[in-house]
Amino acid sequence: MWALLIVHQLNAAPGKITVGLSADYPPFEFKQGEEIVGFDVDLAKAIGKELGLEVEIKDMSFAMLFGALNAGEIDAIISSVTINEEKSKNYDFSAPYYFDTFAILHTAEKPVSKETLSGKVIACQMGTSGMQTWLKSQTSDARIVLMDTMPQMAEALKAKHIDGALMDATQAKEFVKNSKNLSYTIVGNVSSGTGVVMKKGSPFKNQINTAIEALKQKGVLKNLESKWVEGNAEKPTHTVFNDFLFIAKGLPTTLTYSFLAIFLGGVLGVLFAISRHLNRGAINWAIISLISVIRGTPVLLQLSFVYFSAPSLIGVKLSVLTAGVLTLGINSAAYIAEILRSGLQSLPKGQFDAAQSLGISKWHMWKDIILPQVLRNVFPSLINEIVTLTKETALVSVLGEMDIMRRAQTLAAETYNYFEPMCLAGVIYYLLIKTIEFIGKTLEKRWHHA
Amino acid sequence: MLNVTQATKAYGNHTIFNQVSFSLNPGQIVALAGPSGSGKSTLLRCIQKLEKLDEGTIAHKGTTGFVFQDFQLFPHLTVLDNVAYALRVTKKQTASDALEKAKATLKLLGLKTAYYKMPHQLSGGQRQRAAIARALVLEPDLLLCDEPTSGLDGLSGKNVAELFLTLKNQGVTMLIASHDLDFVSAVADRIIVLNDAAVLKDFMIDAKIQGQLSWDKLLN
Repeated sequence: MWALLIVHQLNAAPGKITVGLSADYPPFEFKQGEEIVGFDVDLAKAIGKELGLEVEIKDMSFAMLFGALNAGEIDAIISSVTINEEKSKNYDFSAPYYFDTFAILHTAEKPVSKETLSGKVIACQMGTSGMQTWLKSQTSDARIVLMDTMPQMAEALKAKHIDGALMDATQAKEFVKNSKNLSYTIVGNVSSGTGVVMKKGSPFKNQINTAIEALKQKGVLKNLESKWVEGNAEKPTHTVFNDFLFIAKGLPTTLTYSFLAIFLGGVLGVLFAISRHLNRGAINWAIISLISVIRGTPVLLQLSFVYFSAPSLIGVKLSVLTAGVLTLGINSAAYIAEILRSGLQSLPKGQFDAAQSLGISKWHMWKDIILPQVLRNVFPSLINEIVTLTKETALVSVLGEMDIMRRAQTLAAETYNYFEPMCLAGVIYYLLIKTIEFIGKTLEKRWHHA
Repeated sequence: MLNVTQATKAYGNHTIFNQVSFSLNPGQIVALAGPSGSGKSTLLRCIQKLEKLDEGTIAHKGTTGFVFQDFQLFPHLTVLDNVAYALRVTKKQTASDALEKAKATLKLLGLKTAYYKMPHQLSGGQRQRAAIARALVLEPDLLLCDEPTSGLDGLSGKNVAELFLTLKNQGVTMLIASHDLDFVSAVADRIIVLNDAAVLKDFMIDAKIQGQLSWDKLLN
């Protein structure tokens, strides 16, 4: 199976540039149906054309982009990143390609301006340190709340969890267009502009700067602005039914992760449980430690660790699928091993004696005598674990995998509406989980009748 | 056929049996009797190699079968599969040969109607027979039985006694751990009395003694 989960070599292919972005930030980068579009996408393609390089776009959550750049997963970030001093210490920026102003999005009845920031709760998007620095320079007693996506910030505003959300004016304009109760106030001019982010000393820096300059001269940047920012791009219409279908298309992806992770988790879980039962020194100790670490740390952290640290630790780049299945599978193995171990402990020791007295080999004993009984005894707990794991697959959305969750997020970004896509995703997850539980119950009943 | 020489076993400071020696002749039913806690079961388990002796040797040419006090049938398999399974995987018989032989053995033990029942659907006496069938089907040279009448009512106990005599007539050698003296005197050719971790008495049971066994006499 692992042969199919491709492991790439680390070296970037010549003649190609991999660009990372977070497709939840219209009109700069967002999804229209299956396609990633926007100002930055067109810009990336235009730069590629100027340089004669093939462009590969990788979508992931904004907070993951810099980790991916460090890991060599992507060559550049073109995702509306504001140029600032702090980031310049660790990364190279291109010349700016777009200038925007900051705005505070707020409710219509309770406006927040630069002068009234004091004592307010203001949301910023994670990874936007430029905005946070600006906010701190304006007032010392505004509370900053970091959130993952813009639509989340807008929803938090509507729910009155926050007083305002700091974002680019272009964004704020779109939210106000899509929601009657919201309004915005321009709070400052950004002098530094938005730039392409690269690793320190990246070989692409000079090339990209040349390309941006050329695009400016040719008027391409101006055209992109009028197409995307001034709203001349075509906008598809949305119906609840279409949105439901769009999100439901993530089902195979979610199921793939769930199925492969359960398979890996099941196999490893059985091996862990048996080896813990046999209680052999070093191996047992290693497994106990692994299980302890897995149960004691968040899965999201484990996933980022596997995806971003594997390249530097073992010298291979893992695909999102490999990293996701490995993380979720090993994670699940830890829980399955504990479930099986409790099942093993409640099995009479005489069953082992009986098998041994009949001269049954260890392999046959575990396969045909012990494990079938243990599996039956712990079956409801195993179904629970499958349900939990299936829900946890939503985590791979942060790496840009178009599962149910990520589809809902990109739809939320595109439509500036967080509520409806999340409800639709919830319905799909719910139906999926109920189906798994139904299959589990049916199997259980069949066994009890046998 | 079985030589137990100076067998010694202890769990920590607690001596289970100490310097126990005896040997068995084929074709006999020998009872290993003694009050509970006298080490009978542990000795049987050592002969079956489920546990190791601390000192001494157990020499045995041939195979042993074991019938557990609580039977330990495989609860997820039918009675027939309980009996046929080991034939398939340890004697490498084909599935149909194994089933045929298992059926014949179950029939011999009066379980013709129970082939496709699950163990939990059987009575105590039937489970006992199924457990014996599972051991016998592998044709062991020596059958070890741990407390075969415990947990059975008087009538089932009598049936087990008859069954054991039938098996003896077919040439099965048996070593039975039991504290049920009625049962022992009904089936055994010889009795070895274990007490305080050692062999206290070892004698043949003839018609004169049959029915005269009592713990008072045995232990004094």
